[in-house]
Amino acid sequence: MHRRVVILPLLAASALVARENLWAQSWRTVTMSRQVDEERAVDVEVSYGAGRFELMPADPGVLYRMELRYDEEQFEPVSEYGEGQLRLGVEGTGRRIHFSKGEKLGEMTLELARDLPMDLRLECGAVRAEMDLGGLSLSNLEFKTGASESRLDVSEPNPIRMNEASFQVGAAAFTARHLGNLNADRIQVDAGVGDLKLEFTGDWQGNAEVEVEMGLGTLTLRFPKGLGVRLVRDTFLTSLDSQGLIKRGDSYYSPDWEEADHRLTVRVEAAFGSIDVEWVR
Amino acid sequence: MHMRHSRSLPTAVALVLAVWAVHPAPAQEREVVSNEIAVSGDEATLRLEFKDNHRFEISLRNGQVLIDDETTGTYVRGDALDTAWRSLLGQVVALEDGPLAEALRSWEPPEDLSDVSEELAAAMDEAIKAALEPIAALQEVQESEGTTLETILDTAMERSVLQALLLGQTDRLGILGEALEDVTPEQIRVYVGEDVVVESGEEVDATLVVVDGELDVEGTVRGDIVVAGGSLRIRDGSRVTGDVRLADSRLFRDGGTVEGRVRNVEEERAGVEELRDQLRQELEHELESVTAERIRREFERERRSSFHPLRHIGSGLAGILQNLFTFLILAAIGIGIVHFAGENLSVVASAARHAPGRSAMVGLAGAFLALPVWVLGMVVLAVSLIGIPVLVVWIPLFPLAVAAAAGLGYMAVAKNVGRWLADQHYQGLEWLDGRNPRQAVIAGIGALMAACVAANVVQMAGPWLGFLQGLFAMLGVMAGIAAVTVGFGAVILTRGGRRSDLAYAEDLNFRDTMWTGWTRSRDRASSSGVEEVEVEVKEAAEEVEEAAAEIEMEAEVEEAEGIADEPESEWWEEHDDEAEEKDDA
Repeated sequence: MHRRVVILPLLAASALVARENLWAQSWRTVTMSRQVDEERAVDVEVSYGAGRFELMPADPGVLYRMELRYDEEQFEPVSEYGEGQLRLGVEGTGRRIHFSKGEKLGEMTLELARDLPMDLRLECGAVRAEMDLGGLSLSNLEFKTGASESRLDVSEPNPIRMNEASFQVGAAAFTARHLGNLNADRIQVDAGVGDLKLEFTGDWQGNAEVEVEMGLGTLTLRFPKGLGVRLVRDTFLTSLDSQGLIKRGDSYYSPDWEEADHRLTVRVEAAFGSIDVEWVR
Repeated sequence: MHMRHSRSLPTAVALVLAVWAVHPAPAQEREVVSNEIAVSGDEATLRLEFKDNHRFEISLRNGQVLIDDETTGTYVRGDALDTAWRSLLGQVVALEDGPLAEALRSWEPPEDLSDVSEELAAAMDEAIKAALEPIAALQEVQESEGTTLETILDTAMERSVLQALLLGQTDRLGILGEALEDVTPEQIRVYVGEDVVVESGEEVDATLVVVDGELDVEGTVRGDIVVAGGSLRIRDGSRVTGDVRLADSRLFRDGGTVEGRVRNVEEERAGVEELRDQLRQELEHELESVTAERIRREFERERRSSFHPLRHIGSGLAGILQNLFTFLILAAIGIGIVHFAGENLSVVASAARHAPGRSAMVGLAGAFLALPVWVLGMVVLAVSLIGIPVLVVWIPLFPLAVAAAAGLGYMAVAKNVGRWLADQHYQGLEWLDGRNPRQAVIAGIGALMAACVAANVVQMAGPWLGFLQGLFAMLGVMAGIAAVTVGFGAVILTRGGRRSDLAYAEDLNFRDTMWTGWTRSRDRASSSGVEEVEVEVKEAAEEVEEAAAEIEMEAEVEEAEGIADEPESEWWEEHDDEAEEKDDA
């Protein structure tokens, strides 16, 4: 369904480039895919500099499927695979990347294998990212982004236990939903300046620890009712709206902390800004 | 006839393909594990990787058709072949493995191709089909049926089989296609990667095709001989009843008889390509000539029409109407400002009149700083929590405020210009009263736009006064820019006309009010006598006196608090003197 939406513009683009270059940019569209062969696990590294980035699970049997649209004057695609190492993305061909007013940005749509255990590293620059990791078998996750607007969703539970999920966000707006579906022991969020929204809904399989370091901005923590939550903060000039939490000692606890099936400990270090706690069903 | 030695794999591949073509194998696809489709303005490429690690690529790139990186022909960007190939890639871009192979296999080149493109498309089609064949399955068929090269080649193979066989040699594909033209397909023996000898006294009733091998003819061949990428030796006493065709091959003749023609396909193709290049060059030259002639005619037509008198009159009239329309809009805005913000306008006009240099500098600085201030404001509001709601207002309203300030400033300068114009008592402008703010603003706008109108009038005179027209137009633009700059600076200095302390009393709004009183009094004087006028004058003078007293009081307070500095006090003293003089008057 997603694919049709993406492919149509790509086809339109390919039809266009067959005739004339409408812009000064030299657009190239590349679609590449690989079937799952005999791999048992795979390390995936994705890098994307600027543009719109979309990530989603692939159809069964597909190791990856990547659709790119990029300015071939400035970028070149990266696609390397061997010995369980997969490297994908787009890299700049020169030292600098120039964007003039009115120029369009590229697009990258990536689908990754559902059932293959993988360590996933995503590195984005000035990117508008939409990521759905639902159903991927992730053993580790690392997401780095510079100045971007990123939205991450884990729409389906991760079938394997994840060691750590790490999010490093520069100056950006970052929203993550269904983090409970990550099935992670530990979630680390390091944000510079921006607006962070972390929603810990999903299917919790065990206890987890979350560490959030934030320089300047607003942090919204959304917890599902029934999840045992402990909030520990080490902040400077940061307000806290701790609705639904009870302060005991240096920490804030949800009322059902003691009897909750799964417990989440959230440690927040923030310099300037605010922390808002919200509860959802 | 016997084979000297085989060059192994190519033969096996070709053999298998040939067998499959004659005896269709079970439907088992060659597994595609990876595919890549790349499309840009100069490229449309398909890359496949099979499970057996083999790779296959067809690319239309920069005018060349490449099959596995070997050039097999040329195309023109956007031609029927290019379009058909891109269309195929568009159809298969969403497919993988089996469906992808099936879609590629079922591709049929369009029928509206030129001869050359049709051959290329057929070669591409055959190459795709050959690449997708399930090799392992075919090998099994070959082994189970005990098929040998000889038995296959002795079979009357169809032409498509032969071509499929030869497609194993994609590097020689194009030239082989030409070499095989018109070859009778009924009796053909094909040898790929092998050396073949027709023994002395032996008679072969078939066409011999040798690819990537050596053919040594000592006996008789009743048919044609085609050799590609190898060599042909015709011995003394040998005989060939048909043609000899060589493609990328060498011929050694030690006597012997060739009853047909001996053709070197490569040379012929080179000749054809040379002719094609020549034709292309001639066509390009012709096109350039036609284009140049068309441009020249267009230029000539433009040049002639530019001397048409009515054209300039029409353009000039259109310009005048355009300026008139602009004037009406500005006048309406000016009247609105006088009505709703008359006091602010008076203060701004006063500042612009008495400190035009300072206002211009401030206006210039303000114009340069407006954008950074806007952006900085957005950043500051974005990072501060309470500022985020304000940001929503800041983003649209700041540019609007700047535009409004520029408009107010322009009207203030226009008002000054109008007053000045009235003071000059030009003939025909006696009716103009500079103290009437509406008249002053409208007259000022007209004066500021006068140069633009003059440019239009000059334009109507014809093309001979182009310099004068440009000069007037430039003056008009500069007048507008200067008015906006000075006015904008005055608006900033007076905080939008709210700092009346920076305006001269004679320019203040209550003077306009007084003027209004004066005119009303003057109108009434004709009917009700001079006494009422004197009362009005007295009231107005009292207003001035009160204002001066307030200003004096404020100055004293500031002086007492040590706030006022010396120059400002002097300024106010002068102002007081001026007010007293007016009171005396």
